[in-house]
Amino acid sequence: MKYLDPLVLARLKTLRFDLRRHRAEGHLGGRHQGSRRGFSQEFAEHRAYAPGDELKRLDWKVYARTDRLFVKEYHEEKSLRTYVLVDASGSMGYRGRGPETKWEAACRLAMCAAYLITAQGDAAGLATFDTEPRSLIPPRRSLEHLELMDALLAKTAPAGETDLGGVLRKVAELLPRRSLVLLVSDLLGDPEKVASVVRAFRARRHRVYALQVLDPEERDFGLDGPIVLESLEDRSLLRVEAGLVRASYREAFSHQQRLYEAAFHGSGVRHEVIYTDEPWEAALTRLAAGTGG
Amino acid sequence: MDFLNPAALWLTPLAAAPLVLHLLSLRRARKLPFSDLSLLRRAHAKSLPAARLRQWLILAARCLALAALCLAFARPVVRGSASGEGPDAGMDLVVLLDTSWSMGARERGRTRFEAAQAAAAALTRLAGTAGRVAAAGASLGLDGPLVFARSPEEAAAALGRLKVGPRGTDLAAAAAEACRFLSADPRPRRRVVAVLSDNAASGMRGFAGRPGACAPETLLLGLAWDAPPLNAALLDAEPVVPSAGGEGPRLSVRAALYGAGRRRVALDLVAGGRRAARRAAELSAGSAASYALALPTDAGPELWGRVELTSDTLEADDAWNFAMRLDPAPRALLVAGSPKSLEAGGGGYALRTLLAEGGRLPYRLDTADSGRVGRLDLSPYKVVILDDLRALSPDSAERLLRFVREGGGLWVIAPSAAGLAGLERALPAVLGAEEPAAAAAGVRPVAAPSDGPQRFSWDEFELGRVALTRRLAAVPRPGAAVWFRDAAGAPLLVAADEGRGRVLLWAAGLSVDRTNLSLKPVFAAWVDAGVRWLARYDGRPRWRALKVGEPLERVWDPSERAPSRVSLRGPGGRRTALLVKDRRVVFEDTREPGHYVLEWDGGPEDGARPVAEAWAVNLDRSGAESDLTPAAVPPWKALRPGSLREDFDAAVHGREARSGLLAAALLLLLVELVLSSPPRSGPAPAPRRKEAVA
Repeated sequence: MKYLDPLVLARLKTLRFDLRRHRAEGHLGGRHQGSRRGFSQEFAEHRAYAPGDELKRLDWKVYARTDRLFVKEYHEEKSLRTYVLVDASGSMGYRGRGPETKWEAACRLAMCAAYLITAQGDAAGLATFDTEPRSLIPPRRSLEHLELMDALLAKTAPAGETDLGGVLRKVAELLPRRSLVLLVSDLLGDPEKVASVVRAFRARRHRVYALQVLDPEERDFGLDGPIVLESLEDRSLLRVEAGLVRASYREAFSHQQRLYEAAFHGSGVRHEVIYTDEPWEAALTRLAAGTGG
Repeated sequence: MDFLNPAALWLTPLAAAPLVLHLLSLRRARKLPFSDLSLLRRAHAKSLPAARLRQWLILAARCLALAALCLAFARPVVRGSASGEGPDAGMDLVVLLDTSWSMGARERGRTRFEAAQAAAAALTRLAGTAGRVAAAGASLGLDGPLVFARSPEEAAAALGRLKVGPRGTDLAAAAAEACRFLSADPRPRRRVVAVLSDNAASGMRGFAGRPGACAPETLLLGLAWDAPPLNAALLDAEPVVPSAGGEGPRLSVRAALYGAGRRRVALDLVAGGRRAARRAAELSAGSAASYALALPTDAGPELWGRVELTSDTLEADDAWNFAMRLDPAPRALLVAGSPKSLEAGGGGYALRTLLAEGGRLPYRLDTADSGRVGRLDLSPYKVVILDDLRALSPDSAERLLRFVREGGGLWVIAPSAAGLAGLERALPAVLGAEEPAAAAAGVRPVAAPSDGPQRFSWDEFELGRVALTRRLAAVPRPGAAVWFRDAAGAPLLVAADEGRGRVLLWAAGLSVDRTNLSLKPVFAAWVDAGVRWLARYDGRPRWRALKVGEPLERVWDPSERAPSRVSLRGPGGRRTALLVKDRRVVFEDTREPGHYVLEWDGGPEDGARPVAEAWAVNLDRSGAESDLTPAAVPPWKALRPGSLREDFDAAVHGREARSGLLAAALLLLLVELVLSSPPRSGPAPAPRRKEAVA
């Protein structure tokens, strides 16, 4: 696999996502408590017997003490479905001062997260998008499923424009309720739109993690002199004197980040900013630490 | 504007280098990919106006700074005031060196004249190769004619020969003459007059009245000095007339302090080579004060010396020379013709009481009877008074006549003409018979000397109460003057010269049975006037003081024996023989302050002893040369001795603007530095780093 080579897998041995407290829905049994009563080892409550109930579920000890028939009910245990949404727009192909493009960093993070989720028995799927959802691999619990995901990412190249708000709204409609959504993107778009979509995810009881992958150049804008910048999304050009716009750019960037932080914090969405010049393990560690909340 | 290094102007196009570089850099903009331009577009749109303005300001600051640097290398000068068609026009320079005596002020070991002389010599070398230099001394106008020297060295040599003189200062007159000298040449040349003086305001008064003395295109230069120190000066001195009370002769000296503050000084009176008196004085700036110094009383009638002040900056005004003759009070001899004369009520008695005992008049009186006149030595006496003479031997008469002709004074008080045989020829009037006086009392002065209104006037006395009983008829001789007449107009007191002497005749007695004159207050004034006239004594010292340059003139009275030749000894000891013409000798060359002593051999009556009379010659203090206070606004541009060449170049050719341009360039670079520094904004957002334990 391109992104899950043995070296990466060796480093992932020490990491673990703590997702047990997340409730799940679906038909796959698993270790996550479901929202319904079902069959499991986890006792839920006693209920008065009603005709039609299976006799094997009667609690005879209670009957012996009380002469009344009660049925024991157990929590249903389901497997957690995780969707890793990877932004494949043109801006993800940018490489500034970092050692790799944002796309490569995003793919590695996505595959590592999928591996960790799959390794602990949950199902992980993958979706890529730009202006539209491009491809979708449904969640599976097998490790072989990871090869499909890796192959999909390996053959995908970031290109085109992105409409983050619109495409996420469409993706949200495709996902079943109570899923774990791991959004890996540079979030370069309208923060208000993205925040509203993320709120829509939350309304459908999804648990959302936003991994914002950025190049340090996008933060610092350390370019100098007169330059002509070409957008990787729409190929438009902009002539600027780097030194003269640097301060304004940094101010606008900070403002955008503050908007994202405020919006995600208000929606209960875990938001992590990951720069390509930092070790990917560190970013994944921060993400793993936040999964327990 | 001229440039001292015009070749550097070729560097001026370099000022456009930042603009060219900016335009080139715009054309060579790198093309770079970027993830998303939406943020950048917003930032660009927001910062564009301010950024563009700032960019152009930075460019302008860079260009201007480079231009200022290039111009500074070209050394621009702002044109000076001297005329001329251009920087290559020749210069006519007149250097006037102040030779007034105030230039002798000493500062830091050398006089101002020496400093100005050195500066003048340096100035002669600044006229350039195409320049002409004329040099002269200046005091009360030009000391000599102005002529262009053949070389700067010749002008410097002429200046080196100048010396401080005893003259005052009128620099305006000298400058005006220099300007006229320069304007005689109509060619367009730079015209500069450098007046190297001490800048004392006293020497520049003339400039106020001559605003147009120099044409506007003529540049007037002067020297700048540090603030002068305090200077004390002796302004003048005059003798104080000794009073009859016995107080000795004194010298009143006026001293002043110039500057600001107070100073204690010592005043020394030096006479006869020794210090005769000393006193301390505290001088205050801005006012003059008088101090009295006692003159020595044992030095003889001829007295000269000097008053010295504690030496300070300007030594020339710290001494004042004086010379005077203090005539001793004349001695008088009263010859009493009868014993009754010296008895109470007699005329001799009244005279002796007044002159010998009363001490009211400063004369010494001896008394002798008429029989001893022929044996007495009359030479010590200036006046002989004959009272109530009854008889006179021919020898005595002849002796008296000789006494008068050799300059003595004879006062004949004649109640009768009997005893005056032998003296008739000398009497100013022909005496006749005794007559009763006019019925009305009173005498009236006709031509009697009152010695001026400052002493007394005859009108102060009640002359109408002077009564006479009898008098002698007196017919004045031709040339005689009647001083007093009685109420009827008959002559009473008649005066006339006789030979080199004088004779006064009172045609009446002085005894109380003839007149009550001796009992009246007018008697003392009457006797004083008579004795003074006869003895040629005015009671005042004969002050012999001259200013430098004033001629020394000695005229011998007819009563004196005039020598045929005299010797004059100057302050330096140099002797000059002078011939006496018409009892008069004149010496013109009194340029040097000090004592000029006339010496000649005395006559036989003096035992052929040498006679010496001194004249004191002092510097003229009336021009306030001692006041070294500089003029508040000198009429010229000042040159500092320490930076003479730079100041001269700045004044004549213009002021170099290099330092100003360098300062402007520095300021512009500072502005550029401030503008090009990043504006205050928050640093780039740092990535959140949270260490988590998986």
